[in-house]
Amino acid sequence: MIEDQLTDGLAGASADVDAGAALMLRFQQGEEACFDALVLRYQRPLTGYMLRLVRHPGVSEELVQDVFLRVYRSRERYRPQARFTTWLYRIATHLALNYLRDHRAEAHQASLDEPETEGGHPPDAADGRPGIETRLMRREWRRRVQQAIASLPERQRAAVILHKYQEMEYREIAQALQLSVSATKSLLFRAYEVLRGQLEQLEAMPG
Amino acid sequence: MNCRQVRQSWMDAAPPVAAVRHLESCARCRAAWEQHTHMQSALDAWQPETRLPPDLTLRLRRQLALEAKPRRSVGSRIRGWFESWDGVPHPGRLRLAAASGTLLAAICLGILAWPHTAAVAPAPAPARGVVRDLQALNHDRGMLTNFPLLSTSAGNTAGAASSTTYAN
Repeated sequence: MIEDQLTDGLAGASADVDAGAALMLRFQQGEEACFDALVLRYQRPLTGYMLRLVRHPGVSEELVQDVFLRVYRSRERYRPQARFTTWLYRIATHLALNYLRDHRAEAHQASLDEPETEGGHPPDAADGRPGIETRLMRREWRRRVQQAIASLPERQRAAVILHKYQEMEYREIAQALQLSVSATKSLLFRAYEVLRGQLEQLEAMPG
Repeated sequence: MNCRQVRQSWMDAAPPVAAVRHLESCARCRAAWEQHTHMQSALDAWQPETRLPPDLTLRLRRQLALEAKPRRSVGSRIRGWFESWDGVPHPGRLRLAAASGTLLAAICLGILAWPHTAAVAPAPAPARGVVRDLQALNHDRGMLTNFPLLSTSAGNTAGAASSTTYAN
């Protein structure tokens, strides 16, 4: 609701206005509510990014919190030179890569599979629920996709997630990873080549 | 376009026409394209469920409030303590004296309340005690000599010594 009210104020701006940057600038000028609006707006995509990158729900939650704390603390220094999301994901990537570097030895076995909301039901064609066999096959399928992404080096993994799931452009990914655009392209190319080879044997998603 | 350029162009949202034409003539890239689309659909289907903490904004605010609380140094705490006397309606010197007096009283109380170690009284010199005991014993024996019936058994052995003592 706050976000709606705040973004309503941007209605008169140009169509390609960066809503995040506008909110950040207003926050910079002292509108504290704009910070809450930024949190509400970017919490979900940021959590998804962290979750894919670090593969641990608790850790990703803490990292997201850290990202927003950094946003708050650096409000004075913020300059809208790039898209707000580029700046935001740069902070997030920096924190996540630091975390992964520091905890490289620890193998998180946390499962990112869907919760067992469907669990406990016998196969029932009448209610359209997939049978237990299909659910198990889907789980295994997801595990293999997850493993393939997890097997990538950290920077490649971050690049793929930013490109594939956050739908960022090369230039933005390059800024987030602090690389040149050409280096980012070749990083992504290598990552996709590895993934292509790893997922080659994977059949289509069951069900 | 060579094979690498063609495969790189697949990462773009809209690959160029030349890349599409390349597939018609290159069997290896066609096979790779099949694998690429398969990989893309596999990646598309991987959507981990993101559980958002409902109280993130609240937690952030709490954390920021903690950070905003200024940490006072020892010096500023002492200054603050003296400043707390400002409300007392007395001249400055009296206030300072009162503050110093309180401090002194606190120090005295601290000293008094400090657990004392019990003073150890010097033990009596054992030699002197032994002498006193022997003198008492000799006195008793001297008394016994006045009662011959009682001192018959002990008189012959110790009597001489005791009489010697008394003689002294």
